[in-house]
Order: sequence, then C-alpha cells, then structure tokens
Amino acid sequence: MIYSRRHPHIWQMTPSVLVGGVGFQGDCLTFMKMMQTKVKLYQYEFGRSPDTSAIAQMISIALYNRRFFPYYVYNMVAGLDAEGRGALYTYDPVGNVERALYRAEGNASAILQPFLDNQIGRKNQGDVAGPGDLALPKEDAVKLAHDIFISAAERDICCGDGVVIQVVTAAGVENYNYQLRKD
Amino acid sequence: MNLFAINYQQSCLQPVKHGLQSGNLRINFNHGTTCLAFKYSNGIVVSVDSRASAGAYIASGTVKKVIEINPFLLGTMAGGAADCQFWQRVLSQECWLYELRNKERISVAAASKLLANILYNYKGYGLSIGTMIVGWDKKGPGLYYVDDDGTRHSGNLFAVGSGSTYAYGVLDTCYRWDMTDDEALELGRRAIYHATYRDIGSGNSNNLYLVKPDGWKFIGNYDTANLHYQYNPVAAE
Repeated sequence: MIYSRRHPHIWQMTPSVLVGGVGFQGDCLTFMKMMQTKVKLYQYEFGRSPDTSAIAQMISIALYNRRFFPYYVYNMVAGLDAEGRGALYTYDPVGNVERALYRAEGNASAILQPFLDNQIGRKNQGDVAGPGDLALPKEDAVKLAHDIFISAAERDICCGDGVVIQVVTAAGVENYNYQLRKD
Repeated sequence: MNLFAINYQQSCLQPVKHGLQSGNLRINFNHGTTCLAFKYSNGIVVSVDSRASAGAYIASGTVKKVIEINPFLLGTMAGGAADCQFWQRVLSQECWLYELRNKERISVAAASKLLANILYNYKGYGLSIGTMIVGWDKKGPGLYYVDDDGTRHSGNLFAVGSGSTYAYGVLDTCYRWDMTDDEALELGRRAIYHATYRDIGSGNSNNLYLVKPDGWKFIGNYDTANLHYQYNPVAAE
C-alpha cells in the first residue's frame, strides 16, 4: 500500500548538515525530530551550530541509548568537515558509526551499493585509479545520483515516483528534484 | 490452544543472535570478525580484519576494529559493532577521568577491569562484545581478553571472533617469544589472511598495530585480496 508518493527522507539539522533516515517511518520521524531538538539545545548552550562530526557523534549515542529497544532507522549524516571537504557518516540501527565516501541504505541498498562501489569507489576496474581522486564536478555527481535512482526504480518495487537530491556545499544546500517511474 | 497468544508472543520484539526479531521482521546489527593480539619479546602485535556483516550482507569493508582508547591503550572490536564502539568510548572517558584524578596513566589491568565490571552489570541483556585491551604500562606489556559475560583473562596470545579458530591454527604453529618486529608483524598479517580466507564473517582488509613502551603505532592497512596473491603467486603463463 503506497501511503504517499512525496514523503521526504532527508531532514536538515543545521544550515550545512543534512541527516537522512530510512526504515520504520514512525521511528524515523520521531528520531529526526528528537535530533533537531538536540541540535537546538546545543545552539542554546554554545551559541553556535554543532559541526558535522559533533552531530555524527550525537546520533551514535542517541541510537545506542535505545540499545534494548532500537530505533528501526538506518541513518546517514552529510555535511562538510572542519577542512571544508565533504563528510558522510553512516549508521546501523544501534549506533555503530563509520565515516564513508559513499553509501546506499534502504530497500534497494543491496543492488545499489555494488554499483556505488564500482562507479565511485572504482572497485574491480583493474588498473583504474582508486577513489582517492574524487574530482567529480557537481553536475556529474548529481547526474550520477539521478542515474542511481533510475536504476533503483527499475529493479526494486519500493523505489520510484520521485527522487530528491540535496547537495551540501560551502554556500549552503541545493535541491534537485526529479520524477521517476510511477509504477 | 490459544492461537492469539502464540501469534502475539512471536510478534513481540525479541533478541536473537546478532539482532532483533518481531514475527517475520528481522533487524540485523553489524557484527562478525577476526581479531588477534600477542605479546613477544619486543612488544605486542594487534591485527584485525575490517568486515562488518549484517546477516549475509556485507555492511562495510572498512570498519576500524581497533579502537584507540588513548596513546598507550588499544581495544579491539568483535561481536556487536555498536556495542564495542560505545562501551570502549565509555572506557576512554573513564581512563581519562582516572588520569585526571590520580595524576598518572591507568594500568592495562585496571582499564580492562573497568570494562569487565561494566559488562558484568549488563550480563544477560544481550550485549555482544569480545574485546582485547592491549597496552603498555609500568608493569610492562599488558594484554587482557574481556567479553560480554564478564570474563577477563590475562595472556600472551588471543584470537577473538568468528574467524578466531583459523587464526589460532596459524598462530599456534608459528608463534615464538623471540621474534623480530618484522617477523611478529608478518605472523599477525598471515594469521588474519588465513582467517579471512576461510571465514565468511571476516575479510576485506587487515589493520596492523604494534604496541611498544612508548605507545602504539599504526603499521598499515593491507587488502586481503592482494595478500592472497602475495602468498599464492600465480605462475607466469
């Protein structure tokens, strides 16, 4: 049963940090609102927004606090690190955190993650250079993200209708929305 | 036969091995591993793999299973990834508080006991932690195995995790007290390679650390796929 074709999965915590979560939607909504509240409390206490690594750590602990009745959410935090480079943190439902270059979570994760390993991580391509030179221009990165979701919609029944791509840059967050097959 | 009761019981959330289950829905937590550590004449070698599996899916091939508690103490991660990460971070905080209160670095015995006592309090709750606390203090090299049922053993050689049996095979055959640094590191590397080859829960890459009187040093990250061809060179056509 499709309840909505336009339900967002990415939430903005601060002007430069986005958190995405998939899984049980009840827990996703509650967890995201709880994190937004924690960010506000941080702002009241310290007079500035928390940076990406602080939010990443905060989420890990918040997830582990429910170790014996977990939030059924698979989270990802995207933002800029202290040196201005892109930072991505990924989690399991109980708070194991790892910084990564790319990640796919959700229903189609098992078919998308190998595609990311090959295209972004440059795995299994013989002598081609490793992921070290992630010199993808922004337009190519957005195009790749769009292509990834087109593939997801082709082969996974739960993916489709539309995709929201958000890009975090030093200037702020940009939105790109695309329609996908609606069947 | 109360079918409602049976159905209800199965749909209640219950812990299963490495996860949670409610009826048909199952959440798998990241876990799985081989970790090993051994003392020798010149130091302690710590060698771990880097795979995290969630059920049959490889959730990550780049997990850092050696947790740097402080510049003189290392902890390894085996079992539940989140459990190890969280409680070893708590251990770092406690070790730092000890240093502030006592004006000297905590011993490996005390640090491992702190962790073992915390874990014993959670005995039966379903935590999954098999860790080794490794370090160098004023009594010399320290290596303790600590796990989620409150076990705490000191020793010269341990291997932990789903691939530990394969690692022990290599370690027990080739281990000597008198080894050079290079021989010891090579033994650590080989043991992990063999464990990753045979155990499905271990793989991807090997992280090697060496602990000396002046603290730990990260030696390197070795892809086990490359190690395979190093140890089993393909004859030129």
